[in-house]
Amino acid sequence: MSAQQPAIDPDLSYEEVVGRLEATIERLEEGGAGLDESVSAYAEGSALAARAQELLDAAQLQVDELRQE
Amino acid sequence: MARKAPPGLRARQAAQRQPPPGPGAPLQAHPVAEILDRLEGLIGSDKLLADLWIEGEVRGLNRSGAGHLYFRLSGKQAKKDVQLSCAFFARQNRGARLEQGDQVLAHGRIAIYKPRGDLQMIVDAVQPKGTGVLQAEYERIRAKLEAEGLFAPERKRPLPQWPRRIGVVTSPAGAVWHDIRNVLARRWPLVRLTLSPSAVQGEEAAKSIVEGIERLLDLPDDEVPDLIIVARGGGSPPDLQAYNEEPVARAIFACPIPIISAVGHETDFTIADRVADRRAPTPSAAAEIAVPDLAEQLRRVGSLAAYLEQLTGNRFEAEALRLSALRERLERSAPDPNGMRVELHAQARALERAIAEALGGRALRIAANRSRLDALNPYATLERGYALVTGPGGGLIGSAAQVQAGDTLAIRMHDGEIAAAATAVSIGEEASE
Repeated sequence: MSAQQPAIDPDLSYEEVVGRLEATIERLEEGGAGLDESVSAYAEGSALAARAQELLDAAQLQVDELRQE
Repeated sequence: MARKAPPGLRARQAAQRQPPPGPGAPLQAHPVAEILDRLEGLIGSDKLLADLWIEGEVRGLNRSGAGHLYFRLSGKQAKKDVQLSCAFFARQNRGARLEQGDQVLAHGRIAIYKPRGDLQMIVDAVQPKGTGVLQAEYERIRAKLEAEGLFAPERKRPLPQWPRRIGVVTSPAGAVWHDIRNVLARRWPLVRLTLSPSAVQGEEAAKSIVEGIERLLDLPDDEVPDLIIVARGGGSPPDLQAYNEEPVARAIFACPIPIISAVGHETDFTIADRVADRRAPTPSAAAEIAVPDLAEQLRRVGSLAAYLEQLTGNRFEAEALRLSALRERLERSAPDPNGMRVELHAQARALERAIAEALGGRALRIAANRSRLDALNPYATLERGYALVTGPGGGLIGSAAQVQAGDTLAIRMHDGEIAAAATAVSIGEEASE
């Protein structure tokens, strides 16, 4: 099962990416989708999963310190 | 620039000089009210007298019809009794159990009661003596803020599930900031962390903590944290005192962003802890509570991906089963085996095509590529009567210039090969015709 991986908006937060992944899975779970739709849902889902994984793997804590007047 | 004061100024300065007070000052009778006002002003200008605890014994206790309590706080000076009148009004004294002879700590302010010229203490809280003044103050603030609803469970806000920015109000030096940073780096490095430094003990600490919170709220909109941690490490009760002070409680209460309070050790329960939306037993625990867990999220994404594969796999398996069931049914029920078989094959092909298309049109693309490749196959061209000529070395001849008279050539047709010799070569003639 290989279809073209749709591009995922790089500005999406982890939360949004996982939210979309879950929604995609729900769509597949509901059934009733045509074969075409299932395949594109799958492709989108796996791209989202890859993006979520990437966000978790690449994260580095960013720290700022405010000045005390 | 002027070295000499102008004469007019000098004269005015001389005129302003008052005669020194003393026997030479003119006598004057003052109205009672003026002196009471003056006393009131003097008392009012003293910060201590406006907010203080006094210890003493309760004497002359008297409850008015309206529920006000009047008594005297009594102490000793040079073996003699000294006393201070106290008024503990009904609005403040609810629930206070006060008995004649009790040794108490009373909180309030000193005031002049002008109708009688009495100096008195307006009491707003009483604790049994022996409580310790820190504890008494804690109880007073707690009772006051509790009555105002600052600790009400229904005003606690839920913490954001996925905080993007966390502000930390604590000392930049010391273990607390270090611990919080470490926990967040390990547990949820997707968050952005902002330290708003504050003092964590001493007289100025409460003010500094309030400023620390406000500084975070004053950041540009997109930098304002969605969660704040107010934290301090363990210490003695006086060390933690700032977190029991009313201004800190009010700032936490007024903060539009959820706050986790983590002050001292598990057993310390400060006013800040009570007002905050969430209390953490330690600063590290606050960091843990604040964010999701990276390892858990990695597992979650992994299992979602696996589930997705499984769901899609199931779908295609079901499709394949449906197809073969259809085939079987057709085979079995076909009255005209040949006719039905044709139809069956047509249907099977249609289904296969649908699947192939669904799989990204890959199969079709392959077929299309194949026919494009066929078009480029030179042997297919030979079918149409063209020939391939190779020279003595076996190399393909693409131009007359590659051939000299006398060369041996091989001419390849679609159905065989002809050996030939070049008798003459003329370049450009054919082309120019």
